[in-house]
Amino acid sequence: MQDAHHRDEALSRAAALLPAPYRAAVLAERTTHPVEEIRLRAGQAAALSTILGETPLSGLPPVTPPLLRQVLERATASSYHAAADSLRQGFLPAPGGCRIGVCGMAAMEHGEIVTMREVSSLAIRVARDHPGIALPILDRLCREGFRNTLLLSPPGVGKTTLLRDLIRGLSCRGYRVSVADERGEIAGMSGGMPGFSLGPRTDVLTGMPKAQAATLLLRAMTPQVIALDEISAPGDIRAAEQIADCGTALLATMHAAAYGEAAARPLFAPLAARRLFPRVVVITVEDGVRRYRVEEAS
Amino acid sequence: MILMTKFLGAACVVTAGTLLGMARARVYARRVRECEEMLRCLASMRREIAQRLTPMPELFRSLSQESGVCRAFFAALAAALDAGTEEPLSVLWRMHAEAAFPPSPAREQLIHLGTALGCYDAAAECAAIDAACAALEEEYRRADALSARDGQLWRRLGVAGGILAAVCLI
Repeated sequence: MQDAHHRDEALSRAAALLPAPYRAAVLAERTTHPVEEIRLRAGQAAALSTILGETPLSGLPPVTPPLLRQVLERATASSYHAAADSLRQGFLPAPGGCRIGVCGMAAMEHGEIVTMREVSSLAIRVARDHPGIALPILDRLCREGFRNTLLLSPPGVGKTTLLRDLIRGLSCRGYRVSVADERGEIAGMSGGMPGFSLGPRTDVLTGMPKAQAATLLLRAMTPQVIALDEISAPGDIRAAEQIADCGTALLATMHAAAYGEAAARPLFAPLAARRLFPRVVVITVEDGVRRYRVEEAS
Repeated sequence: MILMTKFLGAACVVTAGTLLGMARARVYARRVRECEEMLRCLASMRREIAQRLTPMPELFRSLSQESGVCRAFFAALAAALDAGTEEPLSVLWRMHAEAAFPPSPAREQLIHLGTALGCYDAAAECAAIDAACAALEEEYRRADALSARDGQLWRRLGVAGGILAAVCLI
C-alpha cells in the first residue's frame, strides 16, 4: 500500500506538467505495472508507457503542438532561456527529478545545434525511487572493497534507479561518493536540495558534461567513488579513463544487453582493452520482474 | 468677524485649487517615475538573463524585493508562477501589468514585451528587452517633457484658479 502511494506521488509529479484534462486522465488510468513514461506525440493520443509497453489514453483529443509548447513552458517554469543548453542536447530536466526527452526540428548553424524548434514529441520520464533494490548485490560488489562497476541493460529497464540505490548504499557504508549528474536525473536537485536521498556522504554536481565534472570532482571533493550515468559519448570515455587513472573507483551505466555487446562497440573499446570494469551488473526483465546479475568481466 | 470668515474661506479655496493643480501635476510625474522604474527593472532583467540565465520565478522574486511602482507587478508574477498556474507567462504578464499600472503608452510597451518572454533563448529575450527599453526610453523622454511643461502649467492653474475663485467669492 505504501509503495503504491509512493508510486502515485512520482506519477503525480510528472503529471503536474500536463494541462488539467490530460493530468486527470493520466492519474485516473489504472495500469498493471508502474507508469515509467508519459508519451506525447503530435497528432497521436497521449500514452502511458510501462515495462510491458505503451497504452494510449482514451477520451482525450490528440496531442497538438501548442499543448507540447505548454508542457515545455511549465517544465521550464517559463524559463526557456535557462534550459536552452539542455534542449540543444534533446532533453530537459524537470521538477521532481523527471527528465523530458524532446523531439522536433533542430535548428543548425555551422554544424552545431542552436535550438530545437517545432517540438513534435515529448517523453516525460517518471522519476521513481526504489530504496533497497541494490541490497541483494551490494554485499558482493563491496567484497574486498568496491571496484569499478558497470551497470548494463537496454534503454528504459532501470539502470538509473539501480545506480541511485547503489550510490545510496555505498554512501551509507562509509564510501565518499561524488556524482556527475549531467542531466539531473540521479539526484533530482531543486533549489540546492536533492529530490532523492543519496546517502550521508554523497556530493552531487549537476548540469555539467561528465569529462569536466570528473576533473572538478577529483580536484575538489576527494571522492572514493565517482558515479556517472550513461557512458555514450567520447567525452564520457575520457571521464571514465581520467577517474580510473586517479585511482578512484568508478560506478557507471551503459546501454547494452551484455558485456560482450558493450565491448564490441568502437566507443567502448579503449575501456574494454584496459579491462576497466572488473565487475558488471546486467539488468534483465523476466515476466515483468527486474533481475540483477553480477558478472566478473572477462 | 464676517471679513475674517471670508478671508478664511478664500484661503481654503486657494488651497483647494493649489492641491487640485498639484494632484494633476502628480499624474505626469508618476508616469515619468513609472518609466524610470520600468527601465531600471528591465535592465536588471536583461543582466540576469544574459549573464546568469536566471529562471523567471527567481528573477521576479528578486525584482519584487525592490521598492517602487513595479514591486507589486513582479510580486504578483512571482506568486503566480510559484502557484503553478495553467496560464502561460504572456497572459500572466498582461494580466498583472494591467492590474499594477494605469493605462499609458509605457504600460503598452511593457505588455508587448510579455509576448516574447518565457519561450525563447537568452539572446532573443535580451533583444526583446532591448527593443522594449528603447521604446520606453522614448516614452520616458516624452513623459518628462510633458511633466516639465504641463505639470508646471497645472500647478500654476491650480493656484490661479483658486485665487480667482476666492476673489469671486469675496
